[in-house]
Amino acid sequence: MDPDDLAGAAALRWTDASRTGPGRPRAFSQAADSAETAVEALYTEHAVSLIRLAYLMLGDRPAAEDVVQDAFCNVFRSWDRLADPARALPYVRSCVLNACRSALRRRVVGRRVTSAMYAPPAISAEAAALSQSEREEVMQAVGRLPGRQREALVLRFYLDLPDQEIAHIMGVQPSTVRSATHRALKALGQSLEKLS
Amino acid sequence: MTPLEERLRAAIRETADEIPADPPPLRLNRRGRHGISPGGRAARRRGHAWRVWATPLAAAAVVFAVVAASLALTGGPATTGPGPARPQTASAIVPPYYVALVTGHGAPSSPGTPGVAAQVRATRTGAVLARIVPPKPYVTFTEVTAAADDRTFVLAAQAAQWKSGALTRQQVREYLNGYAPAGRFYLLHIDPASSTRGGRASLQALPASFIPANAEVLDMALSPDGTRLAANIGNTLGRLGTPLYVFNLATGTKRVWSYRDCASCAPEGGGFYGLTNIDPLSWVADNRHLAFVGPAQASTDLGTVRLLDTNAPGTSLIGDSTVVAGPSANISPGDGTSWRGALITPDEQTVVAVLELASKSDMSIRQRLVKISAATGKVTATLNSPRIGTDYEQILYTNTTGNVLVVSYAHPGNSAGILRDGRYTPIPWSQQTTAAAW
Repeated sequence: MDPDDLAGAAALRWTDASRTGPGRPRAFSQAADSAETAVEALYTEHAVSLIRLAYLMLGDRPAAEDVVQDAFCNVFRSWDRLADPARALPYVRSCVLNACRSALRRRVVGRRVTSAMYAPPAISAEAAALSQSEREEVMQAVGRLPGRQREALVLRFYLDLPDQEIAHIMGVQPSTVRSATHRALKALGQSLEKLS
Repeated sequence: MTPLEERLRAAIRETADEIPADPPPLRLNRRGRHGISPGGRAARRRGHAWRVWATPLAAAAVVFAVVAASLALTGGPATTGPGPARPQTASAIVPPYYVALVTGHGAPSSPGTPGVAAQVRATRTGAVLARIVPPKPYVTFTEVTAAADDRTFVLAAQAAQWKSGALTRQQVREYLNGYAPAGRFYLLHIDPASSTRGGRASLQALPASFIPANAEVLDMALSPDGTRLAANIGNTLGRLGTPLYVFNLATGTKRVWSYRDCASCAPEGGGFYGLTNIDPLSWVADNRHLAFVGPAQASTDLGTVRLLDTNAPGTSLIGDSTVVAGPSANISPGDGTSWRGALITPDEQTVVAVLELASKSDMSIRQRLVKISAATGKVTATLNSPRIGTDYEQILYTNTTGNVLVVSYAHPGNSAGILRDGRYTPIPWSQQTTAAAW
């Protein structure tokens, strides 16, 4: 489990503690300032992991920051409609992934003109456990996977989420997550094998 | 974790760490809560402003389309509420009632989410005739399947998994070792003509022993006569090698088929190849032959649709079944090509399938709804090829010959409609719907 998710557990407890009525969180019915406070707290806790998630999907830090900014704006707008604010984190993760998909589709559409595609994140000199070339190989192979397979891998191997949670975020069945992961690992293995 | 997975995890995490832990400040705008985006860039603001008026227009268009479809199907104003099916209504094309799994009220629409309740609905009007919640200790319905009589259904219920966001390391560890919440099948009988909501649905628990501990129902299909339930039940986390069960609902007995004698099925040692969003299991009208999506053949990762005689002796999913559809001259297998759904028609002549076609060259993914001859394995018709919206197109129902289908996600958004001879007619649909069976 990612440390950020343990922080998420703390956020959840905070949300639960705010329940006032029978199953009705106080934040659910409060005015905009409460929503703003709640969303800002959520951002403080999870912005880094979400920007990193978007960065892994897009390979572009400014785009990743924009995507996360927009996702939180969506959550802010929808706060009153969230049946369970405790589910805000999965919801914002879904928003981030959807925005990444849109961004990648726009790149695909614009490819005829710009040839801009998914760009694997540039590898910095601070690489620790893996050599730079090895990381590049792996990330480039990840970048060649179809979008949904890439999402499944990133959600599992970066955020360490279980299938059920990944399925919820991706908006698919858990069986789809399993098959996407299986296929992605298989393709990744073949791709890396060819290089070696 | 395999060496490849460890390598992948390290590469992903080290790459993610390139983003510093000091995110830019959040720019919220209270006006944004009323539909005006607080986006940080003019271009983004313009895009959001467009959506402010585009959304009501789109919603109005959907309402108009649904009303128009309802009128077209019924030949007159739509009526609500239960009652016997009338001639010339949607029930003449597809069964008049269906059971849908729905998320909680107000929950963000998210296909694939387990339903907190099941609803009995009228196909023609979308009217909810009855609502069924999972009996305690179960909290969700994860799957639904229907017999051919339009009155008998089976629901798979599951106990609470965990509270999202509060997972402990220990829970994650348990999950990785094959944890699954307790589950149970329920037989649902509906009586749409009943004058009371309570009388329109009755739930009967099937033996608890049908679902082993720490296993969950991944896919299931009820035979047309409602007497046999086929289910893929296995451990979580994509543990491959999950077996196929067929339960006799009259006697409570079961049979099990597995891949364990199929050494070449998959690198991980074999598994159930239900690589779809919806059930890859489907029965032929004889209540005896069951179609399922089986493993890939050599040099391709496109699996095969196979037919199993569930009355014949044997326990091998491969050895005791025959291929009815798979890689052929006009299905081009390749990396990323897979079945998103594959149902055999009750007359055993056709396989209707959604194919996922992924291109490595431009990383695009396409989907295609096709009809495949069960005799030749060749694609005989391409019914549509929609762009992938929120999810892949799903085949929810096929009539005897496959010329009438109910599909969802054929168009962007959570929608469904009847596809008949190439003509798509939307049906009233709830955004909270996560699964449905006719």
